Amino acid sequence: MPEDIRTILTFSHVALRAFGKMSAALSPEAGNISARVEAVCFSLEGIAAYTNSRAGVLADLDGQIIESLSSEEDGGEAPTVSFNSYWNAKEFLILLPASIPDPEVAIEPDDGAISLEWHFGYRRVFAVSVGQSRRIAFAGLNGTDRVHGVAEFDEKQGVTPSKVLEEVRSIAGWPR
Amino acid sequence: MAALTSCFSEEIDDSEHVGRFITSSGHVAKTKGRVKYPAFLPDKVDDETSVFRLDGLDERQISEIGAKNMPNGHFYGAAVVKVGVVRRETLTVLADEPPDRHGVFRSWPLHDDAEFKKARRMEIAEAIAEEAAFLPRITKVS
Repeated sequence: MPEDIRTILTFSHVALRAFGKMSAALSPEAGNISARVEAVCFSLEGIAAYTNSRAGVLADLDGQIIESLSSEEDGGEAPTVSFNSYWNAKEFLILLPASIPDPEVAIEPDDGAISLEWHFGYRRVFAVSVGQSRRIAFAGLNGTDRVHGVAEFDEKQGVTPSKVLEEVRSIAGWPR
Repeated sequence: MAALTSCFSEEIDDSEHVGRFITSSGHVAKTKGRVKYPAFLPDKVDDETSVFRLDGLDERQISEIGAKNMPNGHFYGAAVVKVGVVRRETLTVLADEPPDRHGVFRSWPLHDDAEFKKARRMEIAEAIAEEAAFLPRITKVS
């Protein structure tokens, strides 16, 4: 199983806090560093708090992976989910803006990609398919309107593809 | 018109109901029993969606077909949809026996770009899923 980013954040946070307190006791320069470390800690706390806010859907993701692995062992038809697909989906979920509700998770039967779906009512649905590559397929229905396409997802930029956010907000009926 | 071993007509009418047996819990929304689009995406091996023709069966008989034909008899229920809905999405629906009552959705769109192909198929599967109803598995018969 991959390392859990929440665990990494927690340990990073604890280490930085300890370093900041030690530095503040030594000199004014060290105190300056301590203040900066505090700022980093504040950011990390924000990220950790946000990650926790997605705890439910992240647990669903893990549950679906475990179910697919069990099905595979039992000779079922569920496809194998790659580590990259799992990791990409997890990063995608963590980077979702707080204004976007949790999507529902499923494993797709054709290639083991991970489906993240928002359903706002009859024929008001939008989904992304997160697979092994950084190119994410998406599709949605909004009444009689339909959309599909591909968006680039680069976790290093730390943002959800703008096209995806636009479509979710549009189908949800929220202002863009 | 040819008859199949199941005594069904080989031609499937738009008004017929077919069911896709759900083998992944994630293919049904937890709270509402709504069918989600991945339930209708084609299988990896043959690039077609395997279904069963359900007209004339009650819920118990449908569950028996699922138990008999799904790997290890494992499934959660059936996503039921009218054939006409599937054909409106430009897919073909054909009888494909054996086993009895088996059918397939074929003609899923192709594209050189794997992600673009997936996106197009998702849109079709979403449109089908919106018109589908979930029929839970009956585990105990009185």
